[in-house]
Amino acid sequence: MNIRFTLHIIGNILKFLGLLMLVPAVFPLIYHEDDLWALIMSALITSGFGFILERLTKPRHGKNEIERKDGFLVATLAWLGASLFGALPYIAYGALTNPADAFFESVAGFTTTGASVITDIEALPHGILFWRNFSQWLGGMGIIVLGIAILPRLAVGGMQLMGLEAPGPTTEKITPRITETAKKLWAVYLGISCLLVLSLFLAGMPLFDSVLHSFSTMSTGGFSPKNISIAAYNSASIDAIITVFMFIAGMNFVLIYWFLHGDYKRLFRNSEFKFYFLLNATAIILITLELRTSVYHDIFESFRYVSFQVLSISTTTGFATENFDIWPSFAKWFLLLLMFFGGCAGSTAGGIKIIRTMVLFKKGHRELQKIIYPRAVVPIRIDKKPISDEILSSITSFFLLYLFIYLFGTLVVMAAEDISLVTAISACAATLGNIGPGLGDVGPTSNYAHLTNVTKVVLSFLMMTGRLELFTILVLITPAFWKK
Amino acid sequence: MHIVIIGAGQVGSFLARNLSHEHDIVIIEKELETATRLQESLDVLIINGDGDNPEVLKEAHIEKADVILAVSGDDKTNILASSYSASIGVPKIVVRIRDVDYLEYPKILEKAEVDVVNPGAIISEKITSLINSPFAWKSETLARGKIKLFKLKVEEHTPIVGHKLSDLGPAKAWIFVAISRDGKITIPTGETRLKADDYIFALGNTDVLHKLKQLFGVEEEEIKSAVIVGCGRLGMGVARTLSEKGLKVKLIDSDPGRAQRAAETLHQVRVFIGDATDTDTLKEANVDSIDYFLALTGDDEKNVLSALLAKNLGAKRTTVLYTKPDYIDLIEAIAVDRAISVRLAVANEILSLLHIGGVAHVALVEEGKAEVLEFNIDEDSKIVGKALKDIHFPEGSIVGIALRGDEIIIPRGDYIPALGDRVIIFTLPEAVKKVESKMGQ
Repeated sequence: MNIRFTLHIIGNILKFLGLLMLVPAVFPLIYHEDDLWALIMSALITSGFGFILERLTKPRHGKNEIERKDGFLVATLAWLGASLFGALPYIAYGALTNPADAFFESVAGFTTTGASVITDIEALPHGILFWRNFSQWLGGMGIIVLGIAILPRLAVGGMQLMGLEAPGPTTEKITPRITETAKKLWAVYLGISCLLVLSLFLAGMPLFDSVLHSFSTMSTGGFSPKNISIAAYNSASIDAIITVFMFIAGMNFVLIYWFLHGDYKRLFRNSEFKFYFLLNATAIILITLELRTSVYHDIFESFRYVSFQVLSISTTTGFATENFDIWPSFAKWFLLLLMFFGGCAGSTAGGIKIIRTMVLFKKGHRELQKIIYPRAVVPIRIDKKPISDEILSSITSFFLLYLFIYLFGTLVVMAAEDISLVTAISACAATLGNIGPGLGDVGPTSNYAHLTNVTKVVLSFLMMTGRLELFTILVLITPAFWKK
Repeated sequence: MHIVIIGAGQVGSFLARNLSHEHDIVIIEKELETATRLQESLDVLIINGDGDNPEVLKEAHIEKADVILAVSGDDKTNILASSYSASIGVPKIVVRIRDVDYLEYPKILEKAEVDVVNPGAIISEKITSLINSPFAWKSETLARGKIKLFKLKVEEHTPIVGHKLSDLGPAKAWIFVAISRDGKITIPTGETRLKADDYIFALGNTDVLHKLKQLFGVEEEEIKSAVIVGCGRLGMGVARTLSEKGLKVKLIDSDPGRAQRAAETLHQVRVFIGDATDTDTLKEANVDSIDYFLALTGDDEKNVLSALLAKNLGAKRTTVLYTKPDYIDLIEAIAVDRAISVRLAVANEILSLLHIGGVAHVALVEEGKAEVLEFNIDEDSKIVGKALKDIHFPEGSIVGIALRGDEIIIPRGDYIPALGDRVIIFTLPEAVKKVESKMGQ
């Protein structure tokens, strides 16, 4: 393993992250607030640490390539580093005094989970609020993908790194060069985010709020600068705009890229996209019918809130707008189920991902066929292409591991905390799936502030593991990984 | 440039690795596992599919390609892929065809510029040139046949051992561009002292070899007899060429059918059926008194082992063919005389066909541990009219030879590149980019 060069890359990324922290530092100047020094200090510490780390680990001649094994370390350390240093502004400003809280908030930011421990969000200055949502936006398309776009030295082995970070069982390139692919993905992401800012602004949301909500919508993060989230604007058009863009954020960005380049067929032929669309449509219709007029005045109002909430949960955005905790049980459990499905591969969404769910369904179907026709050869196809046994088994084990970690996490949380079963299982589902709000005591009207430090660290681990799709982090805690 | 490579075998992946630093590479590979593995180690786009399938070729954006290299293991795939590429007007197509019977096909594609690379012919030519002058360990032909790069071994008893390069006098006809010592290639200065068992790389014109022989104090014996292992297409071809030159040639193959066919076709050659890694077989073919032993089967391990046995039995010189790049250092360490890398030979041939933006990567040396670049000096070149001593070439590179018309110049510090000159530069891989920017490419 080339740990020296791994740390060199991490130093490089941290140096850059520090520079990005200076972006929110313009807001204290505009709004005459007192968070300027907190942001500049954090930026200096981050960049300074990165700079020193980079210098100390300057690669010895010729040893500037990372091996396959190093990739896991690079990805994990990059995320851990970003989350640790990303917590500095909260501490430096004094928004959060408990380090565990600040770390939790930062992890919830970068991993686009959007679970918060801040009770009065509106009391924070603009700069800190911007950083909170900006970190989600950075984490949405990915720190590594950003690193690949900016640091040319990550080109070799970059494909593996991107595969570790990008959601979904396989990763696609758009162009021969990985840096080009990364740049194009970021360009698409940036472009759609700008479009969303414009749409929200035209729909009557203040510009600052539009930018922040665009960050947290496109990254499927779900942070909001308002205590009652999007509900603060109480506007049907804003709800509709965000609903549509959440749907876009849950789509595969590679397909969006081709779509924007005139290749519409790829998108409409893509069975994952079709399944994603149908699943959400079904969920919206069924839950609307279930709710009818029981919670809201009429069925149209129900439709508005249900469609927003279904996409907010299924794309793992988790805007805590409506108190769905008071919805009927069927609706609540349907939403909990959607937390597991997540968005499409190659999107910014979390969860297990539609493609994996589809493959698992098809595998189940194959097993049934095999019982009826024991000698039949039944290939599993997605988009007419057969899925190789290797990917099939990796998807199956992903699903099993996901369940194990989920159950294990729930158990640990319940041991550390005196909370209801619903709270514990939804908190773990909402953090592992990078959604945000759960049910019960961590529901949309409440937050994660009241939990103990142990629980916060466990949930932070779940968020990180969920964002990096399990294997990347789990392989690091395998003893075989560290053996020479 | 957008280069599409069909087939990620030994040659395809090697070319991709060496071209991907500067060009956008798309590889079409039909084996999913090979494709996945390569995707992780190279910064290229890999498409899993058949190279002769138009749908797959479209996916590789072949219409935008500047170059197509059809180098998959299957001749027919290569021919189909190149004919499809030619039909949509790809400007440069290189197609590898193994079977000589298929060589005619690309000629049908009159429109496009299609270069055919036949591994058998390339290897066969290499072997004949080695046998003609066994003194050179390797030779590469550069600048359309005007210049050669030789790899020579400094034997313990040669008079130049221990001398500084500057002691060898200012050479008019050659230049030593690199030394390979313990498997590492360096660019020497005048102060570098030669050690026994060094390999030294010399650039010179085609008949410079006899002058170098005098310098090295080598008396070259004539090769009169040869044993060739492997009655494949290559073995047969080499056997035919050698026996036509008047050598006494014997062939060994373990497959009775192939041996029978070889015996029927080649009248002057005695063919043996047997395992070449078996001492008895080798003894029966009188390997102990043979001048040259050639192991040319498709099996690396068999080639190396049989050559070792032959050497042990008393064969004067041995040469093996190998495909796996990892074997090069091993083969030289165990005293097999010459090793010919199939993929390097084919890759070099292909690279020399690609003149890209005035630069040709004419040859890769020692599995890519060094490179030979050829530059045409034109209006855009930054070095026109400057004396060489003022140019400061990057570390790890050396200006080897310049061609002015047909005149060969060994450049000294006072050499001033003029328009129309062709400059050949020997460089280590890490200096390639710097050299190119220096040259203004």
